Amino acid sequence: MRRAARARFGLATLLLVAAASPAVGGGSLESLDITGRVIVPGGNLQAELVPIRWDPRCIPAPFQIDDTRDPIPAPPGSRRLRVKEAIPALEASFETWNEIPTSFVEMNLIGRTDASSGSTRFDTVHEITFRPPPQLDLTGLFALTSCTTLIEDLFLADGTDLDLDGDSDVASGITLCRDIDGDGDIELPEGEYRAGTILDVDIVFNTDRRTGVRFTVDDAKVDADRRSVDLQAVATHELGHAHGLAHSPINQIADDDGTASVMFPRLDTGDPASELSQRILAVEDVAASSFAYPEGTASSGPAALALGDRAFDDVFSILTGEAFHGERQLPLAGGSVFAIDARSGEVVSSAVTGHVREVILPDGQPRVIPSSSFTLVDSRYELPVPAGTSYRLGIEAPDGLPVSFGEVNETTLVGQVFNLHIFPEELYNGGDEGALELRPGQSVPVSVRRPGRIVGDFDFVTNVVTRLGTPGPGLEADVREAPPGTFVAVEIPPEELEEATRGESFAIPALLFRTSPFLASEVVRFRRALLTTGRVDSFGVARLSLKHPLLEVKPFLGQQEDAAPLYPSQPVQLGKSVRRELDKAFPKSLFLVLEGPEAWSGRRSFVGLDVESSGRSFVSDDGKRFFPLKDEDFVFQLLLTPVP
Amino acid sequence: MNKVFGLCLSIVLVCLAGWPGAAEAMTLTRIEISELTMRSDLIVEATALDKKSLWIDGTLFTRVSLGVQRTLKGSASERVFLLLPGGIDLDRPVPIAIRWPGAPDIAYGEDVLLFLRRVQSGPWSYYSIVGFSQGKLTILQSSGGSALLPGAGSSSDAPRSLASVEREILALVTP
Repeated sequence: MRRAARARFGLATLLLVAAASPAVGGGSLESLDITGRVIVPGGNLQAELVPIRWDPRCIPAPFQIDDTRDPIPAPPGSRRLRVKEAIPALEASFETWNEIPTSFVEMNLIGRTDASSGSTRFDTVHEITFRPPPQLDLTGLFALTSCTTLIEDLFLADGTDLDLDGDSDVASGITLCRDIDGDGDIELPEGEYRAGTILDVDIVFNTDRRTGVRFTVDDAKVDADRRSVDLQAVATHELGHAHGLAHSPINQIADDDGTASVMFPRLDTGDPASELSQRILAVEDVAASSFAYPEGTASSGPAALALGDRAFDDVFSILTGEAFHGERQLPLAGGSVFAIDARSGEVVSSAVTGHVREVILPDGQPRVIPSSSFTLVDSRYELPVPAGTSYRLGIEAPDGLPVSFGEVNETTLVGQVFNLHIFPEELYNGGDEGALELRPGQSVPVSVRRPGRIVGDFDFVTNVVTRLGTPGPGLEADVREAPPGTFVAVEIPPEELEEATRGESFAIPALLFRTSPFLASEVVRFRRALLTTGRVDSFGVARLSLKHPLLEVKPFLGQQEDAAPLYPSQPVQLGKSVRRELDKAFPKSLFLVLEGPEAWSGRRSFVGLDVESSGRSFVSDDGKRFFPLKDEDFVFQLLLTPVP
Repeated sequence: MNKVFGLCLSIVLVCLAGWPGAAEAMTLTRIEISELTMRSDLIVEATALDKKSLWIDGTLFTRVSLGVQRTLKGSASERVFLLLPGGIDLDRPVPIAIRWPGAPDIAYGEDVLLFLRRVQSGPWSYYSIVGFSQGKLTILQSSGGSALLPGAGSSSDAPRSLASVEREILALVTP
């Protein structure tokens, strides 16, 4: 183990970690915390961000299904599901989370309710409804979840009416949340509660007449029809939100596994394999739930070990570190750190970096203060990983590929205010971490032999690079298929390269190719990726040197809906080769090239397109003549860094 | 050349919006500008002037008062009121917040391009962002002109010029 294990943790250490840095750790939804009501200059109220969680006294969390729309509405012409048919699928979704042996979260469907007076109202009844709120336009949504939370550490006294319905929601004489007066809502035990505590959760499935979809429950009904979706898959995702998990950026678990974490925000309804896979938790989902609700951390209550449970710290260790934005010279809040199992190649965990704070204005509305010293509290992360193997760690920006800052949590949103989400994906490289890394794809394995440890400090510094090529995609992204035997290429003219380097030495740490599969459960594979030279003739046709490229990798594994990196093994040497070309009397252009897959394997590979053209993208069906694209660009980039 | 390109290369252009295998959203689906435009009653460039928490039917919303700078579709007065899901309420015995994962937010002073649908609620009429959060695009001012930062759910890592999006919208709404 390169890094010494810092401490063995148990309950006490976990509580200390939680108290010292409440916002870090594996992808949590966040709420505000105004505890202490600290007034900052300007007369505003300081608000920390804290993870959203169930209080252990309210576990198991009881949900009720709204059966006032039975059969469940569906688009015209399609069979409508009965509520009694939906219930087994929903129960299976609950069980999926409840069965995690290392997480003490438990949520159950306990009965039926009438939510016709307002499906998402704050009423301390946790509802599952098929009644979308009329105030929202839900175009494109399958379902959504609302979480009502405390925003202050408080003692809730007997008789407190949380939802202002005239009925007490807090009672003395009970130790667990339950409906003691039989009126359908939940009463909380009198006592102390933390900011971020969930008071009410409602899950709404989109059955809107204009924008809704048809929900199915049978395996045989999971089809490629985009207007139908598997209810269990969607419910499993929403129940992740219902216990505080944020969206995950993991849409491709491994190079040879195109399926996603359940908490990835998009589901490919055109891919039955993808839909069915989203019923099943990935290791990353298990790690996130277990980190939030670590089993075995109490001697009584839901966190106490019971038959079938395993203690969190008998299975997991926690990797820690910080992230610094090399270009902005600021703590990196909102970056996405991930861990790849070095043996299986599987991404097993991800976490959002950083802890931020906001203020609440006198009008009661939150605001991000554009002062980094106030807002960016730290850039720490905590990554729960199963022990007994080694990991490669990486960091990626929530830049829309594959998820955007707006899709994760409040910390990623705040990071955007400071322009922190522009940096290239890279792996943790130990002592070589720095803003001018030559080998961002090189990784130092992190060994996690034993569970129950906190291991660090695996600190990232994001790279400062110059990007050449095509910048897109813009707001609209298309894809273009690359069948076997075809080539797609992007030109970088010598004058552009010269302007970027100004006669200086440079290295080429990475090439980026935006790629995508046809189906979300599949992987992206090209016959080869190249960096080569060539010329464009007066007719606009390019001829490339495919036999003597400057760099060639075969096969090239792309990424799903992402900029797939190709890391040269000799980045400095490659830079010198390019420099030699530039120093010639009549230098050629550089071309980044992908060649389609070797043969039809049933899997089809696509290249990302920007809908705005720079005139530098080319296609060829024989590798000899490359014809320009008229209206689009492929999204390929060459990254440069100065040689230290 | 076009014939060679079209017939010999057999490369198929597929728009994500119409592509059967396109990634759908559990909470957000990628919606193209053309569909956002079609589904909108009102498209405006605006700035958030005022925000207020508002309870409607037992659900907390944030009402945003927008100062409209330009209307690209529909007709709007100088001020338009928009409902965003969730918010915070400090003015109750136990202060609370309501969060919707993936929900849109508009910061004070943020310049935005909004695709809006009119929703009725009681005696008032408000607008809602089309597609939850995808119909909100942040306008960035830079030395190179105005650009649009993609909204949540958009597959994008680079801004697009505001002028080109305006042209696209106007081409779609002009009879």
